[in-house]
Amino acid sequence: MAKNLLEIRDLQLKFYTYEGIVEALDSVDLDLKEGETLGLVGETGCGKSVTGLSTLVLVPSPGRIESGHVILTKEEDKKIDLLKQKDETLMKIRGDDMSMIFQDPRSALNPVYTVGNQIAEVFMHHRLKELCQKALDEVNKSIASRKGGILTRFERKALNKMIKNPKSISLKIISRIPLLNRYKRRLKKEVKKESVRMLREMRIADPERVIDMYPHELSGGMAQRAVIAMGLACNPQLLIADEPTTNLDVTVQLQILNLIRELKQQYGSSILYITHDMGVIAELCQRVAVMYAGNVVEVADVLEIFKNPLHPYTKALLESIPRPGKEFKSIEGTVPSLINPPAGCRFHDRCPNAIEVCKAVKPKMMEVKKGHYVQCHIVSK
Amino acid sequence: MSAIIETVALKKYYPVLGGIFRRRVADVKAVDNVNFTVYRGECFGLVGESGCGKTTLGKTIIRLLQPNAGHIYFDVPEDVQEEIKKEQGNPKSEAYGRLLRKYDIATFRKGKLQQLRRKMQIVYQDPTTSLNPRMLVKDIIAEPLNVQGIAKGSEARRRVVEVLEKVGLTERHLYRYPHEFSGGQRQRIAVARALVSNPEFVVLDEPTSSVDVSVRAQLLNLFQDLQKDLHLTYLFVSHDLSVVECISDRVAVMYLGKIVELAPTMELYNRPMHPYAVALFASIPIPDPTVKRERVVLAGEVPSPINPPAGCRFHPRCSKVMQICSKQEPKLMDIGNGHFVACHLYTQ
Repeated sequence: MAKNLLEIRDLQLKFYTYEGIVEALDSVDLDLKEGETLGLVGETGCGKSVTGLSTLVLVPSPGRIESGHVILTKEEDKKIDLLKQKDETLMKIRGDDMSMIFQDPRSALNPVYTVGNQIAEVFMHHRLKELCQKALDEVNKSIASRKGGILTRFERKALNKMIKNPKSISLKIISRIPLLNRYKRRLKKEVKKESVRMLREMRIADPERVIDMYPHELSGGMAQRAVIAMGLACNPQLLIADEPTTNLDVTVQLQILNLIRELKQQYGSSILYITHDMGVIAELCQRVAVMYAGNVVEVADVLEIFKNPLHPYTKALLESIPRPGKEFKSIEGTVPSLINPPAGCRFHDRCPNAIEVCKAVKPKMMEVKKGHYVQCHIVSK
Repeated sequence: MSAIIETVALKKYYPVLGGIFRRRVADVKAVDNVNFTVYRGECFGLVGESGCGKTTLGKTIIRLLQPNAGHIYFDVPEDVQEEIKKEQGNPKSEAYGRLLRKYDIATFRKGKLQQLRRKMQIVYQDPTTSLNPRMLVKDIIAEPLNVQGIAKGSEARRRVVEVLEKVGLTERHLYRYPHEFSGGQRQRIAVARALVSNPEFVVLDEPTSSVDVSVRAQLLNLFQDLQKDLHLTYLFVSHDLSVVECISDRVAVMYLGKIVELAPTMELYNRPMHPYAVALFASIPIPDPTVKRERVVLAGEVPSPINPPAGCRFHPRCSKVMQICSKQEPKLMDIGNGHFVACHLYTQ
C-alpha cells in the first residue's frame, strides 16, 4: 500500500456573499496516495476547483475555510497541516512541493510579460540557490581558463554572497552599480537556459523562439504547455490540474494528456486531476472521486466506478454521457443552490430511490468494498 | 430525399487589412470552395477543430455573412434543380441569371433576405451573450414576430406561450429576465426564439458546449423531439464529436476551410478514411477504462488559414503523405455508400 501524500479531512468552506452564505464545501474527505492520479469529477459549481484551491490554501475572497485539515506528507514522513502554516512557509511549499495548472491558459498567463519572463519568475523564487551555484561554476571555469579579468572575480564574490544571503544589503548596493552587477546577467543566462530546457521537455518546438513570445502569440495548446512548464519547474510531488484540457481541441487534448502521463512517469509526482469529462478520467486516472454539491459522494478505483457505480448520482452521471444508438438520459431537476442546501443528503430531491431518512440525516462515508467508499443511506444499508 | 440546402463552390474570405491605407493585404480563407447538400428532415453534423471555419460556414449558408463567391440554393423545387444544372454550362445566359436571382440566396438582398430569415434560424453557442439581458423573455421571443411582421398583440403572445411550452418552459417564465435562468433554461429560451417564426432550417452552433453533461442530455433530447414534431432540418455545428455522433444522420469533417470527409454518421465513425479524420476520431477519449487502444497522435498544430499549405492542406501533418499531396489539391470524391473523401490515397 502506498502512503498518503495528501489527506484532506473534514474540510468546510463557505463563501460570504451578498445573497447569503454559500456552503461550497461541506466536510470533504479526500486521500491522495503517492504516485497516483486521482480524478475529481462533478458538474459546474460542485466545488471541484475550490477543493483544488484550498489544497494550496489559495481560496479567493469572499471564501473562507471554516474548519478541517489539509495534511501534506513531506519527505521523511514529516506531516504538516497546511491550514496552520504561516504565509512564508506556504509560499515555499507552493511551487516546491505542490503546484497547480489552471483551466484557461490564456488567463493564467500574464499578457504583458513574455513566456520566458514568467517561467523565470518561478526559478528566481524557488530555485535561486541552485541556479547561483550553476552560474558560479561557469565563473570558476572561465577564471580557471584565465579568461576572466578582475570583474569576473568580482562576479564570483557576488554570487557567493547571493548563495549565502540573497537579501543582504551589500548585494543590493552592488546590484545597482554598472559593471559590478554583471553577475546578474550571468544569472539571467542560467535561468534562461533552464527555462528553455523546461519548455523543450514540454515538447514545444523551437523553445528558444517561444521563450521571447507573449502569451497572445501562442496557440491554446502551446500556452497550456507553458503553464504546465511553470507548474513543473520545481518538480513538485503534488500537481493539481484544474481542467487543463477543457478549452482545447480533442487532438491537442490528446497531446496534452500524453504529455502529462509521460511527465508523471519521469518525475514520479502525484496528480489531482479535476475535470468534468468522464472520457479523460478513464484515460488518465487510477482512482476517481465524484463530487456533488460540495460533498464527495463516492470514491473508488476507476474500473470499479465505471463498472459498478453505487451512488445514484454517479450512476446518473455515467448514464448522461451520450452514447450512439441509445437515448439520452439526463438527471431530473437541477443542482441545488448552495446558499440554502437541502437538509440531509444533498442529492435527495433528485434521487430516484430516496427514502425518508435521506431527507433528514446526512449520510456518512462508508467503505462498501475494499477501496470503494460511498456516501449514501441506501447503499450502505 | 429532397435537398433543402445545396452549396456550390462556396467561399468566404475575411480580409486582413494592413499598411497606412488599410488595404487588403491578405485573406483568411475561412471557407474555401465548399460543396455539400443538406437533405430535408435530416440532422447534418459539421465537426472540426477550432478555427477550421465551421461556424463561418454555418453563418454563411443562412446568409448572416455575405459569401465571396459560390452559390447557395435553398429550398429549390426538383424540376428547377435540373434546370439549374442544365444552365450551369453557359453561365452567361439570361435564363441562368434569372434562375440565380430567384433561387440562389447568395444573391439575395435586403427585403428578399428578410423574407428568407423566417425560414432559417440560428441558435448560438453561449446563451448568456446571445440573449439581451435587458429584455424580458416575452419580448426576446416575440422579437422575430415583430421584425417579420408575422403577429402582433394577443396573437403574438399566444404564439410565444405555445413555443415556450414546446421547449419545456411555461407561461410563468414570460416576465423574467435571462439572468434569472440557469444555463440550460437560457439555451431553451434561445431555441424558442429561433423556432417562433416556424423555420424549416435551423443552424445549431455548438448549442451544448456551455452546459454541463446532465443538462446537455436534456437539450439533446429537446432538439430531437422538436425535430420530429416540427419537421425541422438541422445543421449541427460542434467540436464535441461524441455529441455529433449521437444526434446527426450525416457528418462532415472540416479542416482549414475545406470539407475533407463527408459520410453517414455510422459509416464515418466506424470507418474514417481521410488521415485527418482517422486521427481526429482516435483522439476522442472513451469513457471506458477497459478500452486501451493504439492511436495516432497528430503532431504540430493547424497551420494559419491566411497562407494554407499548397496541395492538400493536411499534407504537412499527414502520416501517409505522398509526392502528389504537396502539388495537387484532392477533390471530394464519392467512394460509395454516400461516403465522400478528399484524399489522394483513395483517388487511384
